[in-house]
Amino acid sequence: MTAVDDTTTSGADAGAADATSPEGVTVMADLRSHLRKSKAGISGIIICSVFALVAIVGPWLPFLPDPAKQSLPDKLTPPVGWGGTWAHPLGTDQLGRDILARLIDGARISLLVGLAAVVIAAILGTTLGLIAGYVGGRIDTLIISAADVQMAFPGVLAGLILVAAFGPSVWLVIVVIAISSWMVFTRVGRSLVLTLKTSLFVEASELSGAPSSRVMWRHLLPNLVSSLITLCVLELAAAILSESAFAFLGFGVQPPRSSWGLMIQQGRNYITDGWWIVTFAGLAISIVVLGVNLLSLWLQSFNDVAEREQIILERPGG
Amino acid sequence: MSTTNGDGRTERLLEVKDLTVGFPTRDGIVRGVDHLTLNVGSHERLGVVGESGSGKSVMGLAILGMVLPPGRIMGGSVRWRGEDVLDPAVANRVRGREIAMIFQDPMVSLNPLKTVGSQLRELLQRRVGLQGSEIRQRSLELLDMVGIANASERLRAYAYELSGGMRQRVMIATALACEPTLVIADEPTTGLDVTIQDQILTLLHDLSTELGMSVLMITHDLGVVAQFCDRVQVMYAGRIVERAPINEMFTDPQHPYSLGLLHSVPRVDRDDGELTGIPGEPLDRAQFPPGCAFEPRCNEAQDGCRDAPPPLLKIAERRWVACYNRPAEGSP
Amino acid sequence: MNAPVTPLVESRDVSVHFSRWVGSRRRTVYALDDFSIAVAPGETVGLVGESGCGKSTAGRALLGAVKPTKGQVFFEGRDVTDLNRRNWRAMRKQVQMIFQDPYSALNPKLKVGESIAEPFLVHTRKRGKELEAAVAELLETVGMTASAADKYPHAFSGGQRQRIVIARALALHPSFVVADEATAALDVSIQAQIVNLLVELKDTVGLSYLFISHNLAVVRHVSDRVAIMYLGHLMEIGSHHDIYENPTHPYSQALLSAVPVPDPTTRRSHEPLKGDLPSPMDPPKGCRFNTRCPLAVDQCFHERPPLTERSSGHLVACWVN
Repeated sequence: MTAVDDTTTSGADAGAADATSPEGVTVMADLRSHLRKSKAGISGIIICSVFALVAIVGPWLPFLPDPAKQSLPDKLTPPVGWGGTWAHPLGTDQLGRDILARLIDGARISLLVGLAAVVIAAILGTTLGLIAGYVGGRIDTLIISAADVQMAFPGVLAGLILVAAFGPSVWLVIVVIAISSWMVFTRVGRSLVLTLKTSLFVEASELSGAPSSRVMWRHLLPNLVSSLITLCVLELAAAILSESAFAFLGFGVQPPRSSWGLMIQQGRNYITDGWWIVTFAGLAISIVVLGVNLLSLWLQSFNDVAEREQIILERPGG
Repeated sequence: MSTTNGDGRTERLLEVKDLTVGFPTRDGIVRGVDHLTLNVGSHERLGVVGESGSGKSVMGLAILGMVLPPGRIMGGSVRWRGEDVLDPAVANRVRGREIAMIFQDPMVSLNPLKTVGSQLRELLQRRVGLQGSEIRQRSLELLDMVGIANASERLRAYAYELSGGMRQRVMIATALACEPTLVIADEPTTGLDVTIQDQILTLLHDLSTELGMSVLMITHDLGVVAQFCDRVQVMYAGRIVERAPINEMFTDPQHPYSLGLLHSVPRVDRDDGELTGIPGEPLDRAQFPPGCAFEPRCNEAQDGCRDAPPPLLKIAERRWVACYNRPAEGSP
Repeated sequence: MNAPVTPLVESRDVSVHFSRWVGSRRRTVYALDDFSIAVAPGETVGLVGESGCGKSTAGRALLGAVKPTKGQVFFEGRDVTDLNRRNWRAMRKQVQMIFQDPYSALNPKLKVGESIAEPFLVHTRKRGKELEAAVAELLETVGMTASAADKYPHAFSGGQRQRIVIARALALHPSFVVADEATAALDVSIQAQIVNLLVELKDTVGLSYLFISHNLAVVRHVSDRVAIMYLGHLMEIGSHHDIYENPTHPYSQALLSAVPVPDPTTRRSHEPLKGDLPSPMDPPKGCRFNTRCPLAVDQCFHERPPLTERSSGHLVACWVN
């Protein structure tokens, strides 16, 4: 019983390599060597780092015009290639402001809001989901009812109330988005925990006297990660778009500052005269979501230990 | 091709020759079943024993031309009364009618959304061509035959409402609907409780005698084979390593693997000494060595065993072994 | 057996009932009723029965993993039924469990070494090199190489995983191990290896087992005493010899004759036991075996037969035999 074609040898090599599996190699080294083999991972990292870099250094880029500077004579200038000039490579909006400059400025707000909201929601939601699923009983009922109430409660309304109380701010938007999406993580986390906690390895850990915190942290959480990463990506896109809704209502970022969502909201009215306003903002959102998606694909494949080892052990080009 | 064997009493029904099933993997094509040869005669109960990964279930499906993709049949022939079953037209005619299959988990094979009665009705209409009141008549008869009490009530039941043993009985009833000549039973009692397993095996045994059916019993359980079969083939890593009449296999096993298996099972009817077991682990399909697949675990292995898989050779009347250390009949 | 020594573990009239939702109704599952058993130091007691007979629940009740609805559990003569958390943790070191499914028993995200190290991290101050050495020693005890510690469970076959599970169970030198269908998921050639390992460890490490299994042949091979259960009731208990050579309860007799013997020369013609197992949510009154018993008389349907001693240490719960 042998493999039929001449690639048999690579099978034997994989076996041999497995026997000498690198001992004591740290997770970081694994992560690096795994990344080198993953096209999705590399593309994701590149896209995400370019956007992050631009968002961070944006205000100090020397050649950019002031994103807030209006110039009505230049309003709705098309981008280069469609009759525009290099003065405004991506054209201008209805007030004559430079689209490129506003995109870069908006990246800060959009990425900050998206990331911060998702991180807060994920940490809060997952923790509650873990506790609800693992501890069960009254605590479970309490947490899951809270999630249901939150699910039924419109996020915009919550935003209105908070803005009425504290006045508009970007941080408020982050908090509002986070509290209107934590229950997604709670629900998914809890349902995964409910199946996982009947696993024999959880029972084994409990039988050896491990405290609940250890069972949750060491045994349950690592097995939730790959589902939660997917959820994070979905929620990130949703959060960037939610931010635009808040911006539109005037709760979040205040003009003349911009965000991608705000640009889309405002550009909508000019879509026939200036398609580029919505297009470039929309493109920016799509590319970021794509980048994060690729990144999450790679992280998921890294999280699957069997797949990870297979990829690390594979010889380059093999 | 002759359809009768040497003594002329029994007819050769199924003849499988050099059947090879391949599965593409990232390390090339791996053979799940490799050059498998097997014959089933009429009124015969043949056992195929193997552990997980031996390819015995793949074999059961491949005989009917069914291989789950991406696997495919790469060579060999399967003949049913001289006709080529690997030809889809023949397979469609034979499958379910002349050759029926019984699987391990009836929950998977029975439609969860239909009652037992409607599943039997569909089968009897389409395959057997019964009509009107004949169908109900025959359905009741079939359930009765497999020992299901208050059959008319059971016709209205859904699979999930039945116990495991009851489901397996329904499964057998559906297999019997077309009065098959051969039943391929793939681990039909695995997962059932001992007393229920006993019921099902007794039922299958009695039915095969009464109806003159042949049975190809695929199992991992040597006890089931010993109690049920007339003849047995042992599979390891996709190949038949030994074929023998049932008594000879258990009193005088020849292949080191068969020997090891027999010394691995404790007995309920007497105190046995230490179980010797078989050292090592069964191989992954992808790691099959070029020589004898059992060589890494074999205590009789020699250098020659690593070069090419040993062929299945006749060592005595009705006895075949694939081992370099067992001389073939007629050789010195 | 009324052994003069204090039993290591003992249960007295332990019952475990729990409720379960069936559709929209809450039903009580009578998993275990008045279960009394004692395991002496160094002894292996086999616990046999078909699905739903409560054998796993019985094992977990002895370990303190399931709280009895009624009855008491003793460990080394001490009542441990209602231990507080600290004492319970101390007892945890003494008792361990080996599971049926070695695939689900190991956390796929933890390296083998991390899984084995867990009991040390929870109960001892062993860390670093000392911990590594302890893990390596355990792996070698169960016939694996120390390098296995750095791999994830998926790299191992079922038999190897079961060895790893055994290594983890042995970490804190327990005196009592419940093996719950420990070989049921394994191929026969591997099953023999694991059975041999368990038997060997009993002597080298000094263990007592409650060996739970549906496989009567394996139980015969490993047990000193055997208990047979049916639907939450203990039907018969006795020495290895009592049960296998002189089974007295009609259920024990039927169960033993139902096992297919791997020997074609001893094909037995017997009438298989009729009927299905009743549901533990709706067990029959009186003797629970009465729906299938070929010998059942009127009394069997009304009154539960008590376990009575037929010869020294051989107890049977039957009105007829």
